[in-house]
Amino acid sequence: MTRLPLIDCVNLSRSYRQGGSRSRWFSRDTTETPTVTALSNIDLQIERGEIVGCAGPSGSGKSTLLHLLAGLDTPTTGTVSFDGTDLSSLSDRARTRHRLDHVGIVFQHFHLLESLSARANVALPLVELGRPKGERRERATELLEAMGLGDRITHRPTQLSGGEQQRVAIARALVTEPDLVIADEPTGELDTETGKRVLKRFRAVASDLNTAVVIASHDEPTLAIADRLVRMRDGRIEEIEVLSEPTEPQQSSPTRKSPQSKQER
Amino acid sequence: MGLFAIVRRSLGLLGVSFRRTYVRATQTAPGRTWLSVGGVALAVGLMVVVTGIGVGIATQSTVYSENVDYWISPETDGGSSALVDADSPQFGSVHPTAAKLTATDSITYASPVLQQPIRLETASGGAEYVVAVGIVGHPQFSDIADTTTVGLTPGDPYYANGTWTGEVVLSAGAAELLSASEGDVVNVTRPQAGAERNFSVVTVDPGTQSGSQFPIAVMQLSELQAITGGDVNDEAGQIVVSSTDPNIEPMLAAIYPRSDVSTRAGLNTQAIFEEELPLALSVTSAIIAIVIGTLFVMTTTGLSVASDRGKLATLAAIGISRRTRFGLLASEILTITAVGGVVGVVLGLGGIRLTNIVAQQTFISGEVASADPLVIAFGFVISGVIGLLVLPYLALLLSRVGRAREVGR
Repeated sequence: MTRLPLIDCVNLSRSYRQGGSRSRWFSRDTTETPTVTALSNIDLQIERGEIVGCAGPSGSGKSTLLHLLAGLDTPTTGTVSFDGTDLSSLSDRARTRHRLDHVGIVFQHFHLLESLSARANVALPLVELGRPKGERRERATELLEAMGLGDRITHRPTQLSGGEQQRVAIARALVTEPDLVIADEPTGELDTETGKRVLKRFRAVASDLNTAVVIASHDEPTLAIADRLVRMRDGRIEEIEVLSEPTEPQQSSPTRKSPQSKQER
Repeated sequence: MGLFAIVRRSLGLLGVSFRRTYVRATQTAPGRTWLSVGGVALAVGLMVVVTGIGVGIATQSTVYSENVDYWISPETDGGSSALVDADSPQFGSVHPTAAKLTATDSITYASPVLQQPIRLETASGGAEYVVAVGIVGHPQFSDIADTTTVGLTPGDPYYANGTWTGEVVLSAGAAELLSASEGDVVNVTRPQAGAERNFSVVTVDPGTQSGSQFPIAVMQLSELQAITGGDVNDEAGQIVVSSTDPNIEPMLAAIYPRSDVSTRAGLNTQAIFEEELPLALSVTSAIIAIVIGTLFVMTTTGLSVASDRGKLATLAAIGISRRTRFGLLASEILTITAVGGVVGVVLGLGGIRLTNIVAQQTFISGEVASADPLVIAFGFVISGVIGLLVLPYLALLLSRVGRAREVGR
């Protein structure tokens, strides 16, 4: 029996209407609204435990691809299947639940909630999952300490530097131990040493938890962590480089998902 | 998700919501938050004041008698109550006038009413001033100035045949003031009378009417005239007439020159003022408060959601459901309206106090507005209603704004 890839993109395209949507009720303009194609005919499979890098100049379609992989957006044509399920077939509510259960996202601009502390930001997805308070605090604190933010857990985002905010965002993406981590420029605000530590964490997550990680970046050293590198240009895949074979999951890893967390899912 | 997980999630979200509300109110968006609180507080505060005035009107004492259809009183320029204005113009020869009116077929009874402050002294030595109200008793004339007339011999015997009855009915307020009860003897000292007269308390009013707290002593008209000097011209301040005939008003108005006749219609207006106006005031002010408060909170909610659309999109992107996002913002709105309700009630109580101070210093001796506990509860209920009415609008906003695909745009 053939094992399904975690992510399977088939003939994926995404176009946007220029100038946003226009109401037919208030407009006499009968001409067709021009569209811009952000992504065109993408075929890509991503396996569990694999780190995929995504490189390309600005406007090449990296962010659009990441949004489609995460289920934040739906393709104009083609399909994105997650573990055999076409994400476009899911309702908005089901896709939201899918992201909570299976996807961790690191946004380029962090998107932390400024009214909450670093720990509360990280623990927020666990609140939605109904995890006990003690477990939420413990898990969030553990991740923030792993990110070198042990002394900043009660600080709010406005009291943190850009690099610290980025690490909080990464901790938030990892807190639910997702099957897929999507990271848009995850080391953009980090110094070299901290960047290395974060990338090491991604590698540990991929190997220990069998999590697939997709990283979009302009930074070649960051992308060097990837097992495969997808080079994009003008909304198309220009080239896929194999940098290394994915490592096998280690069964005795201390960061392994607990049976309880799997059961609660 | 199990029950415990749902409870944990709800409590966790409440905690997040309260933290978010607190930080917004104190640091990130204090202006908008307090604008919402202020809008609700202003609406609720004004409603509490208006409702307090309505309740105050409803609980004010009245000098009118429920079973009287016409009142004849001298024209006066001032607005003071005839009951406490002892120096107002008086009618003369009131006994024969009342007798003549009572003899009319369409009139059930007519009675002059004389009001005078007198000093009553009890056997134990206590002495207090009360307002004495003298009337000509009639079996169907059951109360005057919110005090019963039961116990007084009908027909004013002292005027009719010179028999001094010495009967006095005390209001609950007067009885309490004098520490007197039925059967007690009270002395009346009045310099103009030139002699002391003894009175016996025949009835103490049970105090069930709104004006019972005032110190009123109801007695035979001629006996009050005798101790106050009003017997010389047979004086009284007003004449009350009980009749169901709407056509006698011109006749009553013609009895004395420069007199006013208040009709049942006027009394009905008073009744409406006492019973329906407060209700109408309360309902109207509540509706206005709800509309203003709701529009205010809706406006600030719209602004808040618009400025937070990125954060809402982030929440959606990381898997926070629309229901949870709604819950977060809804509890924030309800918290803000609740705080607005508390501030509004405090403002309203201050407004009631201020209204009473101004009223007492300008045109009335009593309280015009009442800080009844029900009024306070009403204020809290209205703030809750405002919060609840905004929620459908919030749900509509969240169905259009802050979707996951907006993140990063």
